[in-house]
Amino acid sequence: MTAALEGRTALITGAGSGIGKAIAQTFAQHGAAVAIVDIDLASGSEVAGEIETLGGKALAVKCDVTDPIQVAQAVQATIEQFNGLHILVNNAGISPLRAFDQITLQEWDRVLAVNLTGPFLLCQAALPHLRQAGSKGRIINMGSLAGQTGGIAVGAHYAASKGGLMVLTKQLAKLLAADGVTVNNISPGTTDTPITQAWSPETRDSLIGQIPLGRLGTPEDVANLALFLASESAGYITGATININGGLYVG
Amino acid sequence: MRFTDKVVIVTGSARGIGQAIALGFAKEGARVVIADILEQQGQETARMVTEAGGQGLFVSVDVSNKVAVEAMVQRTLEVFGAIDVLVNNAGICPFHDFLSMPEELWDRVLAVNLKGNFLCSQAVANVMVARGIHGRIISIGSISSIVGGAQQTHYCASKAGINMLIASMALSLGPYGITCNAVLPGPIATEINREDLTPEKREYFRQRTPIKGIGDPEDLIGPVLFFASDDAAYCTGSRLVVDGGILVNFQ
Repeated sequence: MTAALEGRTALITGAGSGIGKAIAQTFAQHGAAVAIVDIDLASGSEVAGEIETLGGKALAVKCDVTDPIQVAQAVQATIEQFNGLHILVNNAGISPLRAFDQITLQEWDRVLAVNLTGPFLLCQAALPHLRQAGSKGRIINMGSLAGQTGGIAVGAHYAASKGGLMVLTKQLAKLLAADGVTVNNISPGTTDTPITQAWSPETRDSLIGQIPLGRLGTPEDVANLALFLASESAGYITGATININGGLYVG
Repeated sequence: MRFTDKVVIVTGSARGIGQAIALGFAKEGARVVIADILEQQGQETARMVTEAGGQGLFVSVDVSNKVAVEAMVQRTLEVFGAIDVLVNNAGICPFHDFLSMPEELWDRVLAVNLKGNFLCSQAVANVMVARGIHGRIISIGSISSIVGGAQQTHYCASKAGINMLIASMALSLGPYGITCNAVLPGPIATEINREDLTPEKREYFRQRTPIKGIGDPEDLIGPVLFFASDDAAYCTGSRLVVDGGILVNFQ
């Protein structure tokens, strides 16, 4: 426990489970007030409750990140509760495993809407507040190795959405730098989350065999990188994509 | 205090970025080897390290000389008894026109910047593997490994080589629990570029660098210490660009 994020407010999407939950817990441990934004209010409330029990500040907000009205409400609720917004973590994402020729237009649209349009809406809604936060302002986008390499096990829609997010990161980095706000993209490899737990044991094992550090990443691994990027000591890093994959891809 | 009693070798740490990194580790309790060819400034930095709360040891070394590198590793073990972190920072950049570049100059830059990285990494990794130390190797690369420079053809090539050396070492050393990562600074004002940084160039970089203009050696402390810390246990083969956004602004 440090005070690295004392006095900051963070809004984290998809924080009801997996990597988002670990980020919310880690940020709260280091002094931030956290808005747990998730489409599943029950899991979001549970995470918020756990954080509050440990003495942290948390607010659970139900939100479908593809809906501009709900996004605006989530940002508004955060501001009202915590007086400001310094750190936005666009983490919410879905990854239906589908062979390319089996992807329906509906599913393509849904994946792009959650994984790419969602961050667009959140960034837009949070923009004035992040600018106000100045050099404490941060946007951290949850990309994916698949966004750089095309992926192995994941669907083409997922890979394309994460590639788009990486480029969105770069443009926003340029746009917001004058205000001191940094924008970066975390690119995890294969992480032990509900998404990958749904994969077959064979798929998981074959992937672990390809990872030089010999294990899947944990949500906490990724959360620690997010914490660093949110901290003051990362103030000169912007527009970057940072791999965290145990050596699975080192290009 | 993340590095209490950890043994850290920082090459080229008599001044500039290396010195800032050495002092950053010192403030968190580390025992730091100032490995440099510059005797007087190296001794002075070692003294500053001890003053800052660490233990400093100056070891004179030309990183391009295998015998000298092995002696430096031996001396570290004699005095501190272990090696937990190696920061490959030593580098030279004698700006020169390509068409008239002497072969000796090319060789010297590649010897210090790339072969030095290899020699130090290999010698230290052998110690880590033999003793079961899950150590950290961090190399200071450059955004010049991604974008070229007309007066830096040797330097840019050497830094690009570091990217692939660190990536390949990540694969090679991952199974031993040793992580290998690169930090890639943008323009940072130090002795290495003092002559090249004319007022016109400074102004150019100031306009091109979205966050605060030319960086300071201190901007590298947080990123290097992050890779050396427990929080980065799953990062290996990663590159972290620390440049105030200048790279993304070129793109």
